[in-house]
Order: sequence, then structure tokens, then C-alpha cells
Amino acid sequence: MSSAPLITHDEVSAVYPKVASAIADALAREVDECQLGSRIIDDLGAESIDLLDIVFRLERGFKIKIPRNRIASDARGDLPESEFEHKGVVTAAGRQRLQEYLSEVPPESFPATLRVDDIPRLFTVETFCKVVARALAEQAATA
Amino acid sequence: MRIPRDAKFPPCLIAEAIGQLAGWIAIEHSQWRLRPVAGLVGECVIAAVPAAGDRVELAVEMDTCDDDAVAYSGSASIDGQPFVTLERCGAPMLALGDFDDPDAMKSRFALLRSATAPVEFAAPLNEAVELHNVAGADSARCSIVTPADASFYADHFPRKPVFPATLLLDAEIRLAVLALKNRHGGRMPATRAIRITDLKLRTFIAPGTAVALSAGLRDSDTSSVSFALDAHVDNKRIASAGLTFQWL
Repeated sequence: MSSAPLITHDEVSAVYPKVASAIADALAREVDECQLGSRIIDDLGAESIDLLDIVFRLERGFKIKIPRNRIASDARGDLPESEFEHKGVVTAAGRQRLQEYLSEVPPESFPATLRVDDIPRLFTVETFCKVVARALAEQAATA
Repeated sequence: MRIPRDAKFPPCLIAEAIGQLAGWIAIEHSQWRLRPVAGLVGECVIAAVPAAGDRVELAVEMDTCDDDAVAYSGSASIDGQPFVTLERCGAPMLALGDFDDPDAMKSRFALLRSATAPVEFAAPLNEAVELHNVAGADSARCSIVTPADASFYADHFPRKPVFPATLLLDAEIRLAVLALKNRHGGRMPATRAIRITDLKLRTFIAPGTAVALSAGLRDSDTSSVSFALDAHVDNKRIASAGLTFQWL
């Protein structure tokens, strides 16, 4: 069983400038502050409405569609939802999948008990680069 | 919709009406489970103020409409001429039952879509909040207190009274106008259009809340002047936007 295909560093780098610009605009930050490892919520101060704003900006900027729970569903892959989380808490199997998918996030950033609602707190700029790169790759594959 | 004859009608309410139309579409699409609650406006251009008695046609184009969020654009026109446009608007979808009675909403929507739907507004609209402690010249500040009780809370929303973002924006615009009048010897220069950009509302504003507003001058030239608008509650930013007045 596996989650979504891995995205290469080159694919991340290719989209990073535009992703960083979109995030900077959404959060009223300088682009320099939006480094690959910058955590969207804890470092850049994003709130839930900002995450929506970022996704909308990325969709328009890259002409892609990003389903709202894309990251969780990509991380889950073919793992059933009931095995990914239980009563709002990510299971051990779900956590492993998330750590594999969010490979850019240091393992120590994952709290001992991870609530599904707190998954966005793990996101970095690189996380969104990977979402965009994946969406572009899928778009190219179906073109 | 038809502009009422006997009350002030802030142009922001036209933009609100476009958003409400998008809201109805989204609510029906969700089968009366969810509703959008205002969050983002990429750009709103107000090119004219309608006159009393004008018949305004509203139009909305939904880009996204799912259980998580809506994205849309829209316009308001008189005799086929758009005078308010909304672009890149978005809102999260929240549980309808937290705000309204779903069955009552369904009935109201059926009425609105029927041939017997009332065209005139029933509620008074002269409920702009007072600006207090206005200070500053190019960068003006003031405070407002959202009414503890007002007729608009009955609709916005029956189960969770929320101070309308439209009225917050109206207060911010009035503050910016005061700042401009200070710059222009008490007069407001003739304006071709008002452009609001990157409007973002971060949280609900409850009745009886003290809100600190600011309108900071950003750019100024012979054709336009721009402000950065902010609203804070307890030193926490709750809303922001850019505002540009384009001169005639």
C-alpha cells in the first residue's frame, strides 16, 4: 500500500517562486519570508481563511484544481479513512503515511497525538509546492 | 432587486446582495446543509451609486461550489450596464443550521424564485454605525461599536447574530473619505470609481463589539489615491483590505 507518488526536488523548485509569491500575497508577507521550510501557520501566521486564500490563489495562478482535502487524501493514498484516523485523531498507520508524504516536515514536528484538524499546522511552503507539482503532473498526464 | 426610495443605500450593500445571490446558489447546491460565510473578495469595483427606484439586476458565476468552499464572481447592472463587479470571491462552507433554520431558508428561497417574490426591501437601511474618536490626517483611525441590537441581525443570522462585513467595510470607507476630506480642504474630490482589493475577513464580529479601524494612506497621484484598511478587536487583526478612489 502506498500514498501518492513522490515529487522530486526539481519539481518543487520549478514551482516554488510562484507558490512563494502567492503565499506572500495571501499572508501580506515578503516573499523572502516564505522559504521552503517556513511553516504556514506557526511561522507565517496563517489562519484558516488564509489557507483558503492560498489555495484559491494557487488554483488561479497555475490553472489547476486543488480539492480541499487534497493533502490528507494524498497522504492517505489507498489506506481506508477508517484506518487513517479514528474519532478525529490520526492513527499510527495514518501518521506513518503522513510522515512519508510530508517528508519535508521534520519528524519531531509531529506531535505525539495528532488531531486531523491540526494537520494543517504541519504544512510548510514546500508542502504547497508539492501539491501544485502533483496537480500539474496529473493535469499533464490527462491532457 | 429594486433600490428603496426612502432610505440610504450604501453601495457596499449592492456587493453584499451579489454575495447573497452566490450564497443562495451554494446553499441550494449543498441541499440545505451548508452555507458560505464571507471571507474573501479579490476585487470589488463600484463605478456608480444607484438612484432610488432603480431596478438592479444581479448576476453570479460560480467557479467552485463544494462542501468545503465556494469561489465566485458577480456583477450588478442597471439596464444591462454593470456598475458593481466582484472578482475572485471565496468563502468557506459552514453548517447552515448554525446560522439559519434550513427549512425556513428553503421556503424563503422558493418564495424568492416565485413570481410573487417581493421586490422592495422591507427592513430599514439607515443603520450605519457611528465612527468614534476619529483621529489622524493621511492615516486616519477611529473606533466603532457594533450595535448590541439591530434589525439586520434578524437576517444575519437568525441563530447567530453577526455584524455584517458590508457595514464594517462601509465604516472603513467613510473613515477613508474623512481622511481625504482632510487632505482636500473639507471637500471630497469627484470620484469615478471605488476599488476594493484583497478584502479578507478573519472572524465573526459579535454584536456589542468594540472595533478599532484604520485607513492608512498608501499611494497618491493625480488619478487615484489608495488606502490600506485594517480592523482590529483587542489588538487582533480581524479584517483587512485595500481601497482605491479613482478620480474623475
